[in-house]
Amino acid sequence: MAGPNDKPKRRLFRLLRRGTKNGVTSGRTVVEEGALWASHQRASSAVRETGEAAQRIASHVAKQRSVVDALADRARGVSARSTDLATGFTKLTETFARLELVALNAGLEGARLGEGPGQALGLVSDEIRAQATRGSEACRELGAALGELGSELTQVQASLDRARDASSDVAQEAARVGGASADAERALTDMAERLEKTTGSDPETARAIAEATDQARSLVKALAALNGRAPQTLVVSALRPILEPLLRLIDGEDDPET
Amino acid sequence: MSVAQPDGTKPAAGGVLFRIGGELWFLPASIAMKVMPIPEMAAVPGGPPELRGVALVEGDMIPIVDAVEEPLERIERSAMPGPTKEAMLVCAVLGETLGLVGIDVVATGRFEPGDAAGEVKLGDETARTFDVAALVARVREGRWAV
Repeated sequence: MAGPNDKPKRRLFRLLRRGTKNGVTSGRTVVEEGALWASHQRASSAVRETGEAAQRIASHVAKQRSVVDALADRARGVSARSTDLATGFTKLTETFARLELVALNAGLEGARLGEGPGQALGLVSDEIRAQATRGSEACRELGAALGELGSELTQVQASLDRARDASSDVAQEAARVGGASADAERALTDMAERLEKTTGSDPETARAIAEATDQARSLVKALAALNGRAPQTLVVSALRPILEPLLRLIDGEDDPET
Repeated sequence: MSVAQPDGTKPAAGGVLFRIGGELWFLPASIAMKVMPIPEMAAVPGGPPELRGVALVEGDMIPIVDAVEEPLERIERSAMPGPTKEAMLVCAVLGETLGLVGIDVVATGRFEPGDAAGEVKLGDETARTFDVAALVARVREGRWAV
C-alpha cells in the first residue's frame, strides 16, 4: 500500500534513473551541475532583490524630491517676505530721518523765538530728535539683520537646488540599476533554458540529486558506525529489503514506479 | 551782534551747529532758515566746482553750494555714511537764498556763547561762525568754464 511519502520517493527514483539513462554517470558532473543550478538560483534571487531595491530607492527619491520642492517653495516665500520687510524698514528709516529734520527745524524755530516760548520748543525738538535717532538706528539694525537673513535664505535655496539636482541624479541611477537588473534577470532566464538544454537537468532535478546524495552519505556514515558492533548477517538482513530495489535501480534492472 | 545780559553774562546764541570734515561750525538762526532733504537739482554747466547746481525750493530757484572746500574731500565725503548726510541747510544771506550741502547737521537751538565773538560751545567743543557770505563770494569769483 502506497504511503504519503511514496510520491517524492518515486520522483527521486525517476530522476536518478533519468540521470543514468542520459549517461550522467560521473558523480562529479552531477555535483557540479547541482552547484551550477544553486549558483544560478542565488544569482536570480540577488538580481530580483536588486531590481526591487532599485524600485524602492526610486520611490524614496521621488518622496524626497517632493519634500525638497516644498522646502524650496517655502524658502522662496520667506525670501520674498523678507525683501518686503526690508523695503518696509527702508521706508521707516526714511520716515525717522524726516522726523529728525522736522525736530531740527523746530529747534531752529525755537532759537528764533528766543528764550521763553523758544526754550519749550527747543526741549520738545531735542526729545523728538533723540527718539527719531533711536528709531532710525533700530530700523537700520533690523534692516541689516533682515539682509543677513535674506542672504542666508539665498544660501538655503542654493543648497536645496543642489539637493534637488542630487536626487535627480540618484533617481536616474536607480532607473539605470532597475533596467540593468531587468536585463540580468532576462539573461539568467535565458541561461537557465540553455543550461537545461545542455545538461538535460533542471533546478528541481539538481536539488533532488543533491538531497539523494546527502541521504546516501548519511546511510554510509551510519553503516560505518555499525561496523563491528552488530553481526554482519543481521545488518544485511535488515538492510536487504531497502537496498535491493536501490541496487536494481542503479543497475537499471527495475523500475520502482512499476 | 551779541548784547550782554544785566548780570554781565553773554546771551545764548540761537542757530544751527554742523560739521564740515570733522570741524564744528555755527550759523545763527537769522541766516539759517531751515533744514531739509537735498532736493533734486539741475547741474549748471561750466559752473565752479562748489556750485552743485540749482534747485526749486518752495517755489524759488536757489543755488546749491557745497560747503566742503577741497574737491578731494568732497568726493570722500559723498561716500561716507551718516544720518543727516542727505540734509541741506537753507540760508538767507545778503538778500539771497542758497542751499548749503556737504554738511552734517549736529544740533539746532540755543547754545552757550564761546570766549571769542561769534563762537558758541557744544559741550567741550567750540564752534566758529561759518562765513556764508565768503562762500557766496568764492562761488561768484570762482573759475567758470564759460
